[in-house]
Amino acid sequence: MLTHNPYKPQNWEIKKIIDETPDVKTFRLFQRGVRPFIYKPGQFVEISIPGAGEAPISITSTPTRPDYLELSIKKTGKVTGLLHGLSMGDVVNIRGPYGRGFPVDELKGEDLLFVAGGIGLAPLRSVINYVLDRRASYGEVIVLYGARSYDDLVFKDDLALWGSRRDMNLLATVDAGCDEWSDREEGWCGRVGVVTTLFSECKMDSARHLCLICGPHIMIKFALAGLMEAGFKPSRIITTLERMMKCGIGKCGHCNIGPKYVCQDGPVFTMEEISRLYEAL
Amino acid sequence: MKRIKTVCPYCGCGCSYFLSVNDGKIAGVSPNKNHIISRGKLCIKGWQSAEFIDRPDRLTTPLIREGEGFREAGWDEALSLIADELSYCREKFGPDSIGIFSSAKCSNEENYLLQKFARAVIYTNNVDHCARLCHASTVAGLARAFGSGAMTNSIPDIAESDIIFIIGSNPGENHPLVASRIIQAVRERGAGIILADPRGIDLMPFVNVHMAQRPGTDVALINAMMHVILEEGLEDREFINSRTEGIEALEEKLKEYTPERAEPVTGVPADDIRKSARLYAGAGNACIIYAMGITQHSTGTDNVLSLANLAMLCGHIGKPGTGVNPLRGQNNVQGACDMGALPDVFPGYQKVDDPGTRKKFEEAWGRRLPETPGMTVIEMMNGVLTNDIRGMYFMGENPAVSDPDISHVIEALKALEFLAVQDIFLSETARFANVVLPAASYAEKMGTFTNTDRRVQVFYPAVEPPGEAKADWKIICEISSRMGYAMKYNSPAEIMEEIASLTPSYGGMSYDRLGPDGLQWPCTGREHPGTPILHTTKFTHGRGKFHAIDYLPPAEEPDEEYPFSLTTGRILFQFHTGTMTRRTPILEREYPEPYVEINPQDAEKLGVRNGWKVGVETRRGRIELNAAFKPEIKQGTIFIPFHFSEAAANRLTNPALDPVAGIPEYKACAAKVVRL
Amino acid sequence: MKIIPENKLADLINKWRSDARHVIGPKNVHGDIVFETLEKDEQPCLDFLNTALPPKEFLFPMRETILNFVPKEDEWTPFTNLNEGNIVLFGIRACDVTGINLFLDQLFLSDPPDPYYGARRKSAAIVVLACEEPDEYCFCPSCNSGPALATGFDLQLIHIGDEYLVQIGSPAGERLLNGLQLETPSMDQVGLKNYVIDECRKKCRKVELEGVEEIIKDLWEDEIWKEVSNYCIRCGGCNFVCPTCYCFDMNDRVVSSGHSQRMRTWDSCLLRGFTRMAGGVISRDDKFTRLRQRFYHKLLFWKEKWGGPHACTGCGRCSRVCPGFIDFGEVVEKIKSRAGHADT
Repeated sequence: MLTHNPYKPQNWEIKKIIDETPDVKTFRLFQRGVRPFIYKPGQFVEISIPGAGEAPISITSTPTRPDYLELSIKKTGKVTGLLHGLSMGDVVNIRGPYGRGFPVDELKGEDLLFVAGGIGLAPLRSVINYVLDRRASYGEVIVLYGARSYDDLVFKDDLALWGSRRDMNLLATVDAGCDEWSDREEGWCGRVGVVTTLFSECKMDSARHLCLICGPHIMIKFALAGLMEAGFKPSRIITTLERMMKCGIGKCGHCNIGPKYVCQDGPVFTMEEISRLYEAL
Repeated sequence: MKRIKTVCPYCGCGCSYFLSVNDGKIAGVSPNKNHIISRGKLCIKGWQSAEFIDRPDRLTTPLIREGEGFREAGWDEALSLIADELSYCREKFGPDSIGIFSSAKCSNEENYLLQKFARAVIYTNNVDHCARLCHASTVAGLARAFGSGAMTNSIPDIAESDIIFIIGSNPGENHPLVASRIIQAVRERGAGIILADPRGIDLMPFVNVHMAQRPGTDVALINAMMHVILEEGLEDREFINSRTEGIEALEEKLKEYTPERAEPVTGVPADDIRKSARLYAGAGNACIIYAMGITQHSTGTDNVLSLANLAMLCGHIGKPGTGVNPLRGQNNVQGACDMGALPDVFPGYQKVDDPGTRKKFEEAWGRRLPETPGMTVIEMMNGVLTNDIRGMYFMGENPAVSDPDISHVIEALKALEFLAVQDIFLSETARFANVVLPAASYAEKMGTFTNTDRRVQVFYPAVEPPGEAKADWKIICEISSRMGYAMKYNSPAEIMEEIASLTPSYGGMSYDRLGPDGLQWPCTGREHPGTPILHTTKFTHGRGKFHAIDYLPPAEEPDEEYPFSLTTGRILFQFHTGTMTRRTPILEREYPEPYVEINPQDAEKLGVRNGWKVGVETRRGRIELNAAFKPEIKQGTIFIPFHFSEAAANRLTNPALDPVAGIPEYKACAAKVVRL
Repeated sequence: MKIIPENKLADLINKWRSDARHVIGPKNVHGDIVFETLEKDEQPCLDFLNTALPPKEFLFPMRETILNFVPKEDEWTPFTNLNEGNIVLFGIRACDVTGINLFLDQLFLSDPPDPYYGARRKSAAIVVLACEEPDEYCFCPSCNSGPALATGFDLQLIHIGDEYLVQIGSPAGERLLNGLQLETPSMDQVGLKNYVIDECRKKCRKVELEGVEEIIKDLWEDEIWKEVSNYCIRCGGCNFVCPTCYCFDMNDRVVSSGHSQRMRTWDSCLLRGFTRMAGGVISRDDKFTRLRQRFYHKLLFWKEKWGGPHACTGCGRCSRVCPGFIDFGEVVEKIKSRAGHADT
């Protein structure tokens, strides 16, 4: 009778848990013998613990590495709090992927400028690693990353790796410095200040670069102002919107903005699209 | 799908609606278009009132304490244990060593039976309930002034007011369907609103004059208004002469209460007091609406008497759109009082220390009854620590969150030799019990509730109680029978017959007469149509009595160490100790966390930003919660909703009591706020 | 078209019941008319102004369990036991059927279809009872959604004197009448039907919605939303009673160790928590922004997303249910009065 129930999640097993920051953990997940999980960078899933509820979480792994799925989860409420208490071998429920991801095909050949703040690096990490795995298809890659403190930097392994690569440029900064941070010798780290202070250093070029930006609301606000001042066209700035996506399939209404549903029409939008929405930012 | 008519289990508005039932399960809520109060409308709590009924953590079997936890038990064992323990207490320490808390959430019939149980079976008048904590001062004050301690008018006729004086009440949040009538008066008649409130209310856009008085200065404020009325000759002499007595002493008293002298006490500009006085006195129809902001003070009875003075002075009573209208907080707090779940009165406010009355009840109940008034809720709790109270029985009350200074309450609960609790969930209080009994919720039983406008309405059972849970009235009957006093009723309707036979104001009530809109007491006989407005041609006790009242400051005033005045209250989306609302996802989502409202300018001085965690401390305790900026709140005042046990406002509140009504001062105490 | 005498309606309903159909119809319960199951021998009350709740709840219940989770080999395995009923929605009004046909179907059946709504919808037969009397808030003619429908029903009944004229709108409707010997109406009876509908239409209030989507576009920053929201007491009722509102919340409950449920319940965009995000940020924290969202959604956003009419069927329920007396028609008039002199 019921051929497909889009609300019905699948069981995934936790294979690995990485402590990123005091309140962010990355869960590496594996699904036993079911259909392949096909997704795009920028899409999200609904993860749940039965009895506690669901939470929309963006995917941070890249489909170019199909052996597992990774979600980086910040502890903010009931579901995410319980997830932080889980261990390897535990099972979580997942449905998805949902939403419109980053236009990775259309980005081919473009020079890319990534601007991330805090946990906002999670969805961008998916695109960055996607691009790096298909390096030849894309132009220049610059990653600007800012966090509150050294402890709040996520994906430190990736950062080290990206920082060492010659085919990309990573610059990171923290709001408040510390010894661990300033003593490091790699060129990508050691800076203190908000992420927009990196704009002048990275030689960004609004005529050439396409910008992908993700982070907390306040950072996006300032970064956008900086990008606009530098002459970026709204159609060449891409970001993700955060809303409480409950159903993920355009029914429940929670993520409705204007005529759009963030869960289906987004979460990835260009600034040009957002400027036509009434209340997005 | 079936629709079962019910009465809302939350506030005192008394809205009716239908519970939808599908295959024996609660399917939702459906408004009742024809109901006189709700008119097909509901507030968000009403719309969500089906959600907690089938929560899986409902109590489903009796529980008996075993070490730190409980074990499930059968009814027989649990009831026998309670009967044995209460009998033991009675024999060994005397009947007055037992204290009984009745419940403003239970039906009239259940409250009637429980006070009967206390008096006839235990032989004690130690029966009280949470009305002590909300409107005890109303019952005391209005009874003295008018002869009847209840809302004088009806909710529908608020829409006929020209001026609505709201003092210490936030109807938009706490009595939304009363707010609906106020908005109707504003829309249809251009009614004006005078507000006296240190905090500002939900209906602010319609307020014409806002007097933000300091908490606990109400008498000074009302006296000053009356001073202006007399000074400018705005009083209703004809009404005063023909309907009242005692004006001379009041006039004398009011001479010293000039608005200019009230200004530094209340913090309200003298001009605003004058303006308010003129508006109120000059209106065609003016009504007073008040709630806990008036009653929950160590001067609560004085506050109520002052409002009665004001209404009588201007003749604003006894007509539609006028009156002194206390808004009762619980769905059946009026009924629980009417039913005599109070230590000094039988049903219908008939005094226990009146020999004639006692004789009537002794004959009806076939037992000798105790003569002296019993202890109040607060006195019983104190009595535990002095060993005067040894055993307690709570029907649906949760003093471990709701009573003032709860550290003290918890100490008492731990010290009790025996505690039995009947409730629908394992409340904070039930966790201290020796025996917990699973009760049926409002959706699972039949009965009547009496709302704030004295309207007695029947609610019907929609679904079966979960597991082995039983209606409270059945539980009381069983314990009583086990203690040697048979209570045999086949239905709540039979209990109501007994109530009617002993309670003059309910004399004409019976289930077959309680139609879609119920009946308002007094309803003295089978033919009596009920009474929408009290005191129309004369007051219940003849002439209305003026009382000359002096202003007394709150028991605890801000000082250097504790510079803030703390007041507490409810918010729209939560209810009381949260037993029901915090189990309702959509309500809990609105305000899931405790917070303290603070004026932004005060916060700035403390270096605190909106949303930051702060500590709030009084001489009784300390809690930590988030700061919420509220520009409307008077500087120097902070407000904390008391719903959240994780940061319980009542760890802070002052148990200082009103000397007449025994109501604690929840609405004013000295506090400090510290940045963390 | 057929004719069925008033006293034959009972036969029709009995026949459906004997066909093992679950019949839902209007009934008088304590003086109010509500939709209930018509049990054996029970007959509907057909003289009524529209109900407080629309019958959308029979397709999209106010609260339902959508998934049960039980552990199987140390995993939480969800299952659902959705039963397709076989129901007749009898005596429902044209405005409410419009809500189902044009709005709920659009939303819930679009890809990916909602299986719970879908199953109920498939099994439901719709028998419309055209209105004879509007109340003061009804404006269905302004929304082309009543007093009677042209299409979109299985059967439609119009009361003419002592009889009902029955219009058959689908093969399923045809089957509902199987086995009954019914006469074909005379020309006079058809004329009477048109008269009854016209008379009702004439009595309805007029709320002209055409073009309002163009005006409202410029009113995002207008004071009107703050003014109107002063009257809102945050009950959410306008959402719950709206035949075109579909928002829901999902939440979990633990039934016992080893058994959890995922429920869904009607939700309201007038509530602050509706846009609560992880970490406590609320994107529509001010009351007026939520009220604005509701009116924009009804008058502009729905149309922009799906095309078709405004998301309103003229049932008037939001006006009736509002404790603050916010009236949809009045707000539309306010919007129109701002045409050409918006603040922005």
